[in-house]
Amino acid sequence: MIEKELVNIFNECVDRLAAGQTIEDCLRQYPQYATQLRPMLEVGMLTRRVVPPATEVMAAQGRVRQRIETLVQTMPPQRQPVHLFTQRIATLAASLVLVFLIAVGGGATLAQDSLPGDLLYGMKLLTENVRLAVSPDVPGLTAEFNQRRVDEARQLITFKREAELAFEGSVTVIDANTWEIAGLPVNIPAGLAAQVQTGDKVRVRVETTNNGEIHVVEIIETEHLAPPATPTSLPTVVPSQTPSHTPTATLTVTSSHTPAPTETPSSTPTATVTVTSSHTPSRTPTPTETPSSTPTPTVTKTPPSTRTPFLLVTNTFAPSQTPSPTPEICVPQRPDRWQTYRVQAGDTLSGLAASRGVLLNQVMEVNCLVDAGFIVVGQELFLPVPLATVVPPSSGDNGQPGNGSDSGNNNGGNGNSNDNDNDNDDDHKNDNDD
Amino acid sequence: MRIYEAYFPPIYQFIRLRVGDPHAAEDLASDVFVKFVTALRGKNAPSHSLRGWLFRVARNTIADYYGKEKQVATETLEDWVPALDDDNPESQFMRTLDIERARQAMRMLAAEQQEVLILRFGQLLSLQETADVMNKTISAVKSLQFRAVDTLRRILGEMQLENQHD
Repeated sequence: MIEKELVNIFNECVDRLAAGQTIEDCLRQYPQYATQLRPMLEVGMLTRRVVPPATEVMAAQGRVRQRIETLVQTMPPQRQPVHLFTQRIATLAASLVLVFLIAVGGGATLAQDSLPGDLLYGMKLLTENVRLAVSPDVPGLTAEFNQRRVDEARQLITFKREAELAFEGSVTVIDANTWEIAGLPVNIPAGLAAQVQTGDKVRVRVETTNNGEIHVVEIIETEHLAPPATPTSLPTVVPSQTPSHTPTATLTVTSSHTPAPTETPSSTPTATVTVTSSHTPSRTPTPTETPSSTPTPTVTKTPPSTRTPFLLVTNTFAPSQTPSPTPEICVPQRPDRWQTYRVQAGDTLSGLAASRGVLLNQVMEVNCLVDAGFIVVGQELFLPVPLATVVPPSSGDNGQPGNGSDSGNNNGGNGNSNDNDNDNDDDHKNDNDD
Repeated sequence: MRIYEAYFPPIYQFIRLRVGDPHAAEDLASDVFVKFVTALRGKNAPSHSLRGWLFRVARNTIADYYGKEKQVATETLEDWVPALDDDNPESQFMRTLDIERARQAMRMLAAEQQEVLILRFGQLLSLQETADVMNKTISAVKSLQFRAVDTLRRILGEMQLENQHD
């Protein structure tokens, strides 16, 4: 169809114009369409020049800026003073205003060396928060800023200065009420001692004292680093309770399922005797009937690490695979019965996962993805076969964007689909039109 | 770094081209940034593509505005000065049309067509970004922009004819 090709070529020319090429550049590529394309591209370029007068924009900009500033000042102050990580980008509201007012250049660099309690320290945190807000995806940024907190704490105790701040790190030594977190010795008050083991990651709010000590005020978050999980097929299932009564004969347990440590058992023992306890593997029942089919255990997977992983662990999805013990580079590996999928326009990871009945986390781990919001058209992913032969819902997040792309299903009755006429055909075609 | 300073002009331009009244446009632009500041304090801070987020919010804000104010906005035409574009005096077609007429013609298009033109040509958003902002597929945006330009070209052609007959 000539129309469709023209639409694609037109789009390519629009991209070229946006990239700074001229109309002629594009027409030279497609002389056969020049007569149709030229007037259209000229009209397109004409619309580019339709903009409101700069003076009007600037005046409005100034007035709105004042409005926003006033608004921010009347907002209730955020609790938790110097506490970077859980604070999110909240103080950015305030920083927006401040950054307008302060000549960032000089101030910020001076502020870099400041410590908690210094006049400029707030400035330092603000610039960090702005950076986090503007480029949240830059890897290592949070880690970098955390290291700054650790360094600050070290300087504070060297100078025997009192201040409060928060940082995170792994606990390397635990000795009565002294821990070592991120290499810093800290005092843990008796009341706070949580179930923390050596090697766990904790996030703590601390006070430095004027005698050079660090006291933990609050353990904000603990992340138990699971003992080097070897999800090979040797689960140590300890029967939680020995059955109180001996089951009388005819018991049919159809579970041939070997539970891996973290998975939820999908076995449904069909027993003719009401057994109140969980089935104990040690017991040898005398089955009256051998199960005809071995149920394929639907492995609902892996510890869903809700926080950004500190290091990428290669996902060993199939239980039979041997995990490499301490992998540094994540290499996507295609699990059994998964297939390669090329990301199309409108796809979201969560949508793709949902349409295939797997968890988002699972897809991310198999494909070594860190950011659920970031996939690009044409990218290849490993995915299970779709549940039905339905095309994954093209779910752009509607309404209020921003809360990530983890729910493509709230598209409800937005009635926005009126322009989606045979889009999918188009997509297919467009992929190979170069 | 200076989010507001960087993003106010494009957002305002986008709104202003969709909303005739500069005061209303200013209010709406203000709403967008209030929402932004509020979002930063809340749980749904934009996690990626700030620009797309802002345009999307702007688009919703305009939609709300037109939902509420059914009446056609009053235009103030007099101070509308075409943007200076010195380097390319394109072709015959381009020269005979002035910017003002282009703007009038644009406002005769359907809302989505206006949006796609502003985003793709005016604000130079990529196809993907535009699709995200407009909650459409890439191919839908492709055909939409094609139709928009084609319709605009026809309207402009008719306007030109009328002018010659006068």
